[in-house]
Amino acid sequence: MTESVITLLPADIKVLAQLRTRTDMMAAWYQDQIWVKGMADHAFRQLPALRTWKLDAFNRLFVHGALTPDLTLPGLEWQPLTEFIPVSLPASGLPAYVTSKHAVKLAPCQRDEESFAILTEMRVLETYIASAPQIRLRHLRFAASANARVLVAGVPLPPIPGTSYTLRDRLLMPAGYDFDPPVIRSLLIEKMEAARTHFLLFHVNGQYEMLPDTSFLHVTRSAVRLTAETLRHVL
Amino acid sequence: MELTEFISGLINEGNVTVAADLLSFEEADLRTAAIHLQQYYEDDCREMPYTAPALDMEAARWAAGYLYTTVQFILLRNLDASLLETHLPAYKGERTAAAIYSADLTLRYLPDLFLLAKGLSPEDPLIARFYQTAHQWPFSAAAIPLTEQVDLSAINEHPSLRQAYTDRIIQARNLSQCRLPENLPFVQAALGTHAAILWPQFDTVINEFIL
Repeated sequence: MTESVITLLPADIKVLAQLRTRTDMMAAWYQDQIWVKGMADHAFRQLPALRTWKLDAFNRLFVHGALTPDLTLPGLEWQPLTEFIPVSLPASGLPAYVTSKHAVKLAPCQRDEESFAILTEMRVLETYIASAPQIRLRHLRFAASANARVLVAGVPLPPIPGTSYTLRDRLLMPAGYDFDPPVIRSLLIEKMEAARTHFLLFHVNGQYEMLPDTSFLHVTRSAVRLTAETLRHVL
Repeated sequence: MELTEFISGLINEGNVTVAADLLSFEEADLRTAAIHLQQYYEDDCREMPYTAPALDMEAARWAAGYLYTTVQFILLRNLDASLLETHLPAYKGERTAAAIYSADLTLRYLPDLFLLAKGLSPEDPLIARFYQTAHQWPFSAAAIPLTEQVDLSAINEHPSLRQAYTDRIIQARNLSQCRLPENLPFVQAALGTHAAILWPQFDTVINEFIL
């Protein structure tokens, strides 16, 4: 028995959801339509298909009764229906509206974590790289700000004065501090799209700065010196 | 503009072209080559620890010509070994810190050429010449394992050269140079307490050596 392939409108995902426990059916998004493949049994045929094909062993799609293929099945990211249509909790019957905003606060914590980054002055880093062995630099990255502050990241960190930061979930927290309450962390990550492409550098007062991934450079003597020269011209 | 194009190719593209015959460089070529070397020196200084030694153009130009001819000897297999002496003359000036660093602008490619030449023909008289040059210019030959003692006094006296030389030994993982008493303390200081992370094999090998 050969498989069938159908296309559905996006709105028909609710109809398809009635079959989401079926393990023999796969679905994928393609050109703003839902593509479904599976054995064309009764339930499958009940779906409100826009187009229907039979699929042969060479991934060719045939309209019912046709001797020549209509098209070749495009390369799609097929997912089982359970993954394609994830379940979500229903909205509360009596939803409450949060009107007040909660300020993000940091508080000292007992957790002992290794520091991942250090925030220091550009001149401190410039002095350090002048005499530091190359092997102590090559695993480090740095990002400088226009006010000549620089964040150096990488383990082991250079032995220079500055504020140490720990890293978890792309959030850089002052060493020895965590969110108050700690659960804020997961909410923040969920809420902030920027956390996917930026590092969020939190200060003890709860304020934060967003550092794009692209702002980090490898620590080399020339990169640090050129950055320092540029900043001297800017400032 | 043979030498100029050679230096430009080496610096900017990482590949070089040499003439099919041994030649002397024209005056105009040497002048333009010097401008390229000056620019290269200014760029390279930024990557050096501390303050790099001054530019010694004589040494820089000699080294560029030396490297050019060495490439010719590797590629042109019909050249006679007797020509090595006349066409690869030793540096006549004093090997000061400035000369060492200036010559290194091009001599730093010597270890790569050494490996290439050794791979082509281990018995080539050019290999003996390589070792001789490596002993005279150890700063540029940090990646070549040398069996005999080399004079590191000029390197040791200049903090920039000393640190850069240590960097190169570590970069090349050249344990034979690490083991030398004049290098070991610098390598240990560079790795500090992080040797297990930065160079896991170092402690094992050095402990075996010391014990």
